[in-house]
Amino acid sequence: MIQAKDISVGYGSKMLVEKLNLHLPKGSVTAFIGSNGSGKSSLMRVLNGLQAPLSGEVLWDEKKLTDFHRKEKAKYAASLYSNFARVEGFTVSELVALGRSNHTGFFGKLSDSDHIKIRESLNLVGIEALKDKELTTLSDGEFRKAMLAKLLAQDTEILFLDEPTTHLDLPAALDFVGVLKKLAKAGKTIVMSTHHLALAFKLADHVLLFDGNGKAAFGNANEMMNHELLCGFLKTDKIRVENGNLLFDL
Amino acid sequence: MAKWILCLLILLILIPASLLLGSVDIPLSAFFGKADELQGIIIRESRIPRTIAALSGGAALALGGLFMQTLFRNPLAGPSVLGLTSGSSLAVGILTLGGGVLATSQVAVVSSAAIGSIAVLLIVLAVAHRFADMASVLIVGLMLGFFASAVVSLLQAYADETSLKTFVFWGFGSFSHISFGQLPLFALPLLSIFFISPFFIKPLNHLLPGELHAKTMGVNVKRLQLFLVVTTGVMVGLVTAFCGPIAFIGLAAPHLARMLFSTPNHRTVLPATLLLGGALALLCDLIARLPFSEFAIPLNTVCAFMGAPVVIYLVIKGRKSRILT
Repeated sequence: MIQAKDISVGYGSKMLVEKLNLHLPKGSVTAFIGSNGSGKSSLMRVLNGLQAPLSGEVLWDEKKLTDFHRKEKAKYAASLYSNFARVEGFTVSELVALGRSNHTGFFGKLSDSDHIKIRESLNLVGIEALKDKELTTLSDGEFRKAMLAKLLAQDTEILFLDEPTTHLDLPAALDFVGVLKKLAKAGKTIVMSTHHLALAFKLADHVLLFDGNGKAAFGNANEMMNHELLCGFLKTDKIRVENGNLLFDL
Repeated sequence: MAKWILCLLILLILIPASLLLGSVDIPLSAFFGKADELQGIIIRESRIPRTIAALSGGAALALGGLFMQTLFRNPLAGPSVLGLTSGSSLAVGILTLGGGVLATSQVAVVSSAAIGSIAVLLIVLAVAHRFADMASVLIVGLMLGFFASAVVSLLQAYADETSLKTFVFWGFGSFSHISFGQLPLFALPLLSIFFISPFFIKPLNHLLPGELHAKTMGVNVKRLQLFLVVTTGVMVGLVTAFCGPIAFIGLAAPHLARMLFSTPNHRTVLPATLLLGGALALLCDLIARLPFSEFAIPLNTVCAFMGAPVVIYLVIKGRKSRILT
């Protein structure tokens, strides 16, 4: 469970999010939607404990983020940011093994239970066939899935995913979101940012809309699927909602 | 496992070779109490310090290279990217080229080289502290290097023949300037850094996909960066002070380690880099002595002859294997 109390996020005089309150229950999926630079990634880093808010506080399971030790946070939340690089020479299973490192000893030697967890993670994401492939030989979709498997191996409650479907072709994106759906059902709390409006509404329980000037709107996905809200926040008039479906006017 | 045995075997051949071979060949029996007085002095005052200096100095440069390659996530980074070697060169240049007679003493050269690299290290640290951004640190290090080289060329242009010779000889690099008595001062700080380096295997691995990744894994990234810059600075400073600016070993050894063990995982690469760095330095030093002859060639010439092809070969081989799979 993630809570945000009166948090403001921004840089210098530029306020991206102002006095925001959030409550994201365990096992829920929340999608951040907004134009580029509207504050999606910044808010995610704040909720993730990687960046301090300008004001307000973040709580994980009712414990203040500032009271967590660095290592403890990594056992609670696993994150995928779009600038994570493909490590040359690493295989998929070596990457996934990296997710176990907060559970292993001094030299990072993997125990039997670590190996089991790695195998489970690869299975859950559906990439066991790729386990010996080098990261540099994977397609974008395969690489994101390998990263997702690494996050699962971390064995955390919360997953933060910053634009995980960007650069993926449509089948790969659908496939990826399908895996996320499965993970949410298994009880993971997922926070992701995306430009894929249709996929976001299909997957998410909650949607947070950003306008990039300090204003944000948060609500259940079905309440947020609203012509005025979406067009207002995304500064367009080309999104329509009909019978619970998103339509785009061209 | 076989690859580790291979590494150790190479060292087991190189170490005795380094003790026995040189302008004066020492028979194996000399090590078992049958040395005459001259042989005893050569072994104690020349061969042993030289072998230990090459082993520990090579390993230190290699470890510094590995740290810099991981820190900057740049395969071309080496221990010299922080500009420390250039700082030493500048200080030694000012002393030998500008200082005249005073400058010929070895103590003066060693201490000025140390002061030069420490000064650059402090500048680099100040930049790292202020900007918290490793790209700026890299650029500042490189620019300090260019600046130092420019001043050195200026000094060279106006220097007299003798001091120019002293400076050029220092620039050749050599593991033979360390006496038995100086060994602890040289090797102990290096050994203590080798000893604590395994503590950083896991954080270094988390740095591979990027700084933000390391942060999400609970690594104190700032502290890690500081550790890497300071230890590399100390290692490069010490080696450059005593042995001169030694090229290529620091760049080549980590690549060799990654290639031989086909992984970038520091759990393997870090110890392998130490071993291979030591072995590479010993080998270069051995070749530089031109055993069985009365001549010797500059260490840096050998390092470049050995190092450059190794790096080119590794890069080409790496690209090929990637295209084929």
